[in-house]
Amino acid sequence: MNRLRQLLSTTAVRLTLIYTILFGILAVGVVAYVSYNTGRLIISQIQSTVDEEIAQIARQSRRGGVRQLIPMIERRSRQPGANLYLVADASGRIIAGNVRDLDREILLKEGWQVPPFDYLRYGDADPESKAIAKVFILPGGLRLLVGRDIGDAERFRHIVGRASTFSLFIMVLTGLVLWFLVGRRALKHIDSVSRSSQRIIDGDLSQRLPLSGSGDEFDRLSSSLNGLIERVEKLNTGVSVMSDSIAHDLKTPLTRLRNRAEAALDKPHDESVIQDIIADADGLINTFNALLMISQVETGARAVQFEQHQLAPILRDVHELFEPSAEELDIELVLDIDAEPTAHCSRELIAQALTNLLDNALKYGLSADQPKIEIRLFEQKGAPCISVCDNGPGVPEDQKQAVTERFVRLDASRTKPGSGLGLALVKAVASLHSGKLDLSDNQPGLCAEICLPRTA
Amino acid sequence: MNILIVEDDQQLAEQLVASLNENGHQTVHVSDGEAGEQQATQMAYDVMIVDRMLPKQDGLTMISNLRQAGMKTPVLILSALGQVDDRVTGLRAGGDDYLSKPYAFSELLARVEILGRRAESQSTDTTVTVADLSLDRIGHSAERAGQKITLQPREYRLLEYLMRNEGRLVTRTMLLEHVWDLHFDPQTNVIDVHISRLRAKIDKDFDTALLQTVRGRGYRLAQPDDVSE
Repeated sequence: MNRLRQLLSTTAVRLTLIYTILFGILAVGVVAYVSYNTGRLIISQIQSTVDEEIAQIARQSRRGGVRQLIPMIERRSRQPGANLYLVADASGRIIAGNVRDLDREILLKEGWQVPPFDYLRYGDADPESKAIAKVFILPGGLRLLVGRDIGDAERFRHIVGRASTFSLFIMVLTGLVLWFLVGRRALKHIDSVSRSSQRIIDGDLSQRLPLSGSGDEFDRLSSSLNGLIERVEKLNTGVSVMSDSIAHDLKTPLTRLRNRAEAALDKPHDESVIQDIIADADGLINTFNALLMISQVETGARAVQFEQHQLAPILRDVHELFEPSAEELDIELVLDIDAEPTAHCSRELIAQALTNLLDNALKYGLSADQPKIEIRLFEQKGAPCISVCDNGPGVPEDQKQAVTERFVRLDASRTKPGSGLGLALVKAVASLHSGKLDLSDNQPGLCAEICLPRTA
Repeated sequence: MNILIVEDDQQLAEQLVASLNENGHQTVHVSDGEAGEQQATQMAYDVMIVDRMLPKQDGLTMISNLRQAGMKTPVLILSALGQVDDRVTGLRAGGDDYLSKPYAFSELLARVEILGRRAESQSTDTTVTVADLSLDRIGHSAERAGQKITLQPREYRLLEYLMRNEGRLVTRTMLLEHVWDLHFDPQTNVIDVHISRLRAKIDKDFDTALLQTVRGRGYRLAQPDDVSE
C-alpha cells in the first residue's frame, strides 16, 4: 500500500496518468465526432438518391397516369437490393410496392420522415428493420412512399463504435502498464540514489551514486551530485590533513614556549627569558594570523576592496621596502618593469603576496655565490604577470605542487624560521584574483610567477 | 588620558580597564551601543575604544551617529575574531584606527596613545623638534645639532611619523601602516632594517641615541631621560 502511494506520488507516474486521461477524453471525442458525421453523411446520401427517384417517378406518372405508375413501382420493387416503395390510397390502404406493413400515420404527412421508423417488408422476416422515407402525394390523392433501409448505416456505426471502444480499452491498458513500468523505473532509480545518499550521510564519503550509463536525466543528476560529493570529500580531507599539520607544526613551538616558561620560573629575574617567551608567542600568533588570512582569502570571506590599480607602483613600494634588507644580506635586488599594466585587484593582497615571495627569496636565495633576486612586471599574452626569481637552491620538480600547500616545507629548509604558510597564501591570493601561481626552475633557483587575468 | 571603553565582553573589558589604569589612564566602561552613545555625548573623552559587535546598537552605527553630532574624539575600533576584517567600512563609519581581536595589549596601548596624542596636536607646524633633532616639513629635511641630514623620501616619512609621536611606542605594524600604507603583519625584519638605516643617519654620529628599540614591541623616538610610560 505504501509502495503504491509512493508510486502514485512519482512525477513520472502522475504525468503518465494525466496523459492517459487527457488522451482518452480526446479519443472519445474524436470517435464520437467521426461516427456522428459518418451517420449524417449516409443519411444525406440516402436522401438525395430518394429525392431524385421521387422526382423521376413523379415525372413519369404525370406523363402516363396511375395506370403506368403501379407497374413501374412493382417493377422497381422487385429489383435486387431495391429501395422501399409503396403506393397507397388516401385512406392508407396499400395498393402496390414492397412494404407489407408500417405505421399508417406516416403516410398522412407529405415530406421526409427523418426519424427512422419500423416497417415490414415482403419476404423479409426481420421485424426490426428501420428505414427513412419520403412521402409524396400524387394528383388524385394517391400516396407514394420511397425510402431506404438504414440497417447498413446502423451496422456501420455500430462497428465503428465497437472498434473505437476496443482501441480505447487497449490504449488505457497500455497507458496503465506504461505508467506502472515508468513509475517503477523512476522509483528504482530514486531508491538506489536515496540508499547511496543515506550511506554518504552516515559518513562514508567514498560512496558514489550509481550510474546506469544510459546518460538519461537520472544519470546526469547522479553524476553532478557525484561531483558535489567529490568536492566535499576533497574539502573534508583537506580539513583533516590541515588540522593534522596544525597540530603537528604548532606542537613544537608550544612545547618550546612551555619549556621557556618553566625556565622563567627558575630564574624569575632574567628578563631575556620572558622576552623569548613573548617572541615565541608572537611567532605562534603570526602563524595563526597567516592561517586565518589564508582561509579568509580562500573562502572569499575577507571583504577585499578590489579596485583598478597600476601594478608598477605596488612593485616599487614593495621593492623599496625590501631593498635595505637585501643590501644588508649582500643580495642584489633588481626591479625590472617591462610593462605598466593595470589590474582589478586588491593592493593589500598583491603587496602581501609579493612580500611573502620576497621573504622566501631572501631566506633561500642567500646560499648562492652571488645571490641575486629579480622582481619583474611584464605582460604575457596581454595578461599582467609578476615574477620573483632567485638563484638559490630552488625547489625540486616533484615538490613544486606540494610547497604551495599549508605547512609543507622542504626538509632542507626546516631549520630556517618560517611557518610554511607563505606560498599557500600567495596561491590563495592568486586564485582569489582568478589568477595563477606558477613555480618554475630558474636554473638555478626558483621563479615564482603570478599571472592575473587580462583586463578587459 | 580619559578613555571610554564600549565593549560587551565583560572579561575583556575588565582586562582593558586594568591595563589602561596601570598605564596611567582613566577609564569608563559601558557595555552596549546606546549607553556608549550617551556617555560620549555627556562627557568629553580623549579616546574611545569601541567594539564592532555590541548589543542594542552596533559599534559602527554608534560611531557614525556621534560623528554626525559633531564629536571629534578619536576612535579605535575593535573587531571580533573570525569576523570579516573590513577595515575600510570601519574607517568609513568614522573610526580612526582599527584593530582585530585578539590583539597584543602593547599594540592596543601604542595605538590608543597615539590616537590620543593626534587629537591634542593636529599640528600643522612646519618644523617638528625632538631634543636637538628638528625636521623641516616643507623642505623634507632634518637637522641635528646644527648638522644637516639628507633623507630619502621614505626615510623622511618614517622619521616624521616617529617624531610626531615623540615618546610613544610605535609598533612595526603601525609603521608599515602609516609609512608604507600596507595593512598586514610584517613577519620579517624588513622594518628593522629601515629603522637601523635611519638610526645610522640621525643617531650614529651623536652622543645620545634618540631612536630606541623597545624589545619585542617596537620603537620609540625620545630623549633617553624623557620616556613617558
